[in-house]
Amino acid sequence: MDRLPDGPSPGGAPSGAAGRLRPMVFTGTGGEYFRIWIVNLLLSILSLGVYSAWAKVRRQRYFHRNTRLAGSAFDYHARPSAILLGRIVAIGVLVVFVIAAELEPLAALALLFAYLLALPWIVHRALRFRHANTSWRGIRFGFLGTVGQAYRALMLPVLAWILLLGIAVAIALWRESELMLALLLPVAGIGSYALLPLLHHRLKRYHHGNACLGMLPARFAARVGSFYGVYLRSALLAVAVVLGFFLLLATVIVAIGGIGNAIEVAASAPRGGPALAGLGILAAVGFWLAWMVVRPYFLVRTQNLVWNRTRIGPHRFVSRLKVHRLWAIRMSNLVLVMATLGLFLPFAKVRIVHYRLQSVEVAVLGDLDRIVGGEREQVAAFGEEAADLFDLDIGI
Amino acid sequence: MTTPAVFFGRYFDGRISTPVPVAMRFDADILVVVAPEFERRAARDHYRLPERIEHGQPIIHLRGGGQVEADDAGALWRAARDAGLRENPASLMSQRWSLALLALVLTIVSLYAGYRWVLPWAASLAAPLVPAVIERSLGREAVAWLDDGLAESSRLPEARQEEIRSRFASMLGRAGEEPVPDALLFRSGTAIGANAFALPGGFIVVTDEIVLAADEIESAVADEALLGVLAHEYGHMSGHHLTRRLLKVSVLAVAASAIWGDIGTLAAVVPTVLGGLDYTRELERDADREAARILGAAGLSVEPLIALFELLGDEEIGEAVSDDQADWRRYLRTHPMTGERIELLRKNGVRLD
Repeated sequence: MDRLPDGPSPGGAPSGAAGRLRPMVFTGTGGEYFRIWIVNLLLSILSLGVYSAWAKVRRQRYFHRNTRLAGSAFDYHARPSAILLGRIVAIGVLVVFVIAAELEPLAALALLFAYLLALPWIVHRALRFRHANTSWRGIRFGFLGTVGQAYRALMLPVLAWILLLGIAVAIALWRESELMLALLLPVAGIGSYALLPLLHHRLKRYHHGNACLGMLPARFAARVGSFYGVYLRSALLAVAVVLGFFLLLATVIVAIGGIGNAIEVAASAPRGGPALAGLGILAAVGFWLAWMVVRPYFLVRTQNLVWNRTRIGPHRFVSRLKVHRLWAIRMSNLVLVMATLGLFLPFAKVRIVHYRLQSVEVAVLGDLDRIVGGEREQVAAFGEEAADLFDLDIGI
Repeated sequence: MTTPAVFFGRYFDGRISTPVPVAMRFDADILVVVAPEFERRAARDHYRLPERIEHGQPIIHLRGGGQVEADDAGALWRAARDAGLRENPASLMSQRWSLALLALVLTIVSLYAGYRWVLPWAASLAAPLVPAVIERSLGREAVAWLDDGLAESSRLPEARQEEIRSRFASMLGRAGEEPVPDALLFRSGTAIGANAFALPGGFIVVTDEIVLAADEIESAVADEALLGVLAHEYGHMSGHHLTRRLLKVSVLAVAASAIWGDIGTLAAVVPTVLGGLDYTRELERDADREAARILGAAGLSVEPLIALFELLGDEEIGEAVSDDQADWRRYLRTHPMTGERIELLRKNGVRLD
């Protein structure tokens, strides 16, 4: 089949035409989710964790069935018993890991390596499980990406980078050049950060480029350059926040004590332990501030980038998340969660999900009533649970 | 009998996303779905009612494919109630604030009970089951870590070390305890000071400094104060205290991160650390009780040990703190207050004077 150019499509409608915009509507409330959450928590504790699989299904169903598009809600179909089995296997693997690490550090290293090698496979299984168990209007989502693609997308850049670094270190050692070794350290750090946008782009391309709703395939068109843009701006923003914090601090000190006084105090201040600890605390506050500011910026920019470049069949997504709004929600959430010793958590989650979903619209081109379902499959939950357990954030 | 209430919705066959408007009703507990072109009847085990939520879309799944989305949740649940269909208890609990708040209270109570009684009990059951190899390897790791800069080899004469070993063995023998050959490791503790501690796998590290400090205590029997210290450490060892603590702290860490992990690492770490310290103090009390018992059974007095505590003050946390410090500081300590320990030893020990 010929590839169609990105010009006018054969249907006559110009490509990129907005069509009708249908909003994603989220109807869940914090109070109701709190009641589900606390009952889930109680039953999970009383059953020593067994109920947590049922709790997960209840939670997922609550959020899916409160998310509507064109009058119909999404739905979640995973069986709790499958999730329980996945959790037991994943925890079993973790326990073996911990015991091995205690007994023989080398075995732990080997296991860590095995885990890293298995990561693309885990991502693949988790995506298959999640999509196969999500539906809209009775049509299941699906995930068609292969294990091989996962390895090519995620493993190749990492291996290439390790190989490159290894060769560089080997040459430096062979030449016995300490200068070269010293130079390698910052290069390795910056290079590793520079690898992240590439990996992120490839993960999203693997994910969104291989998903489907019934027979309707998704397409992902974001360029890797856009990911580099987001990461670069995030890094610059972080630097700006830290610098700004220390400048402000210096200004305040000078304003209070006068510049001469400040220098005098600094010169006569005790060296060693307490001074270092003070500096350490200030640095930690600076980095925490940077994290608080940059994290929402990063989340907003990536969600907008990823969703604005994703299509399902002819239908486009439009994501209009705003940094300052997400920032305000996250900050108030943090304060309220702390003040309530965690009881605000379910409300906080609903607020975030509500804002993230309400900012997304679907530009429907043609008809949402004629989507045909595909094959259904049963997928074991191990990948999903392993991803959960190891805090692998694959995202939606 | 009244005619069953009718409610409306859209049927999807699972093959195409076209909504088919339908009317539904329950005939007794049979769900009847009536569309312009067909009628489907599903017996009770051929359809699954959703959990009842306020705003979300109620979706009824039909066995063999297909689903119905009810337009009005209220109408669906009125019809279901009239048909006498029951809801799942967990879902019922989540529908009322009063029950949800009861769940909150029960959660707090069960978290507290789990922390206070169930976890220590489970750990004391499980600790002896941990294979000796693992305990041994944990202990060896700790010794290696000590020898890597924290402690140096002992400067006590070989004969003095042997003397302490044999006195320790004979005390255990008289108290009817299992002998633990090669348990004592003598080190000179530059960074750890006058100290003795049990490690997993049956190791007890004794520093030269504590041997010298114990020598300053007058006692009726030779080395009575030092034997008291060793009895305390033996109490840790025989009770598998370190393994128990390790198990408890691991469970605490997992539980805390499962419940509070969403907020951030700090929220999960703080309860773990505080809980861990609380257990430590509990175990110290246990070991003190065991020390008093062993000393008594071996015909030794607890008073020299008490005198040693008083001499050392609170060196075990590296700073001199008095007993009248603010109460909250109790919770940051690894060991109970000295005064509290002395009282406990006197209560459990045998006075021979």
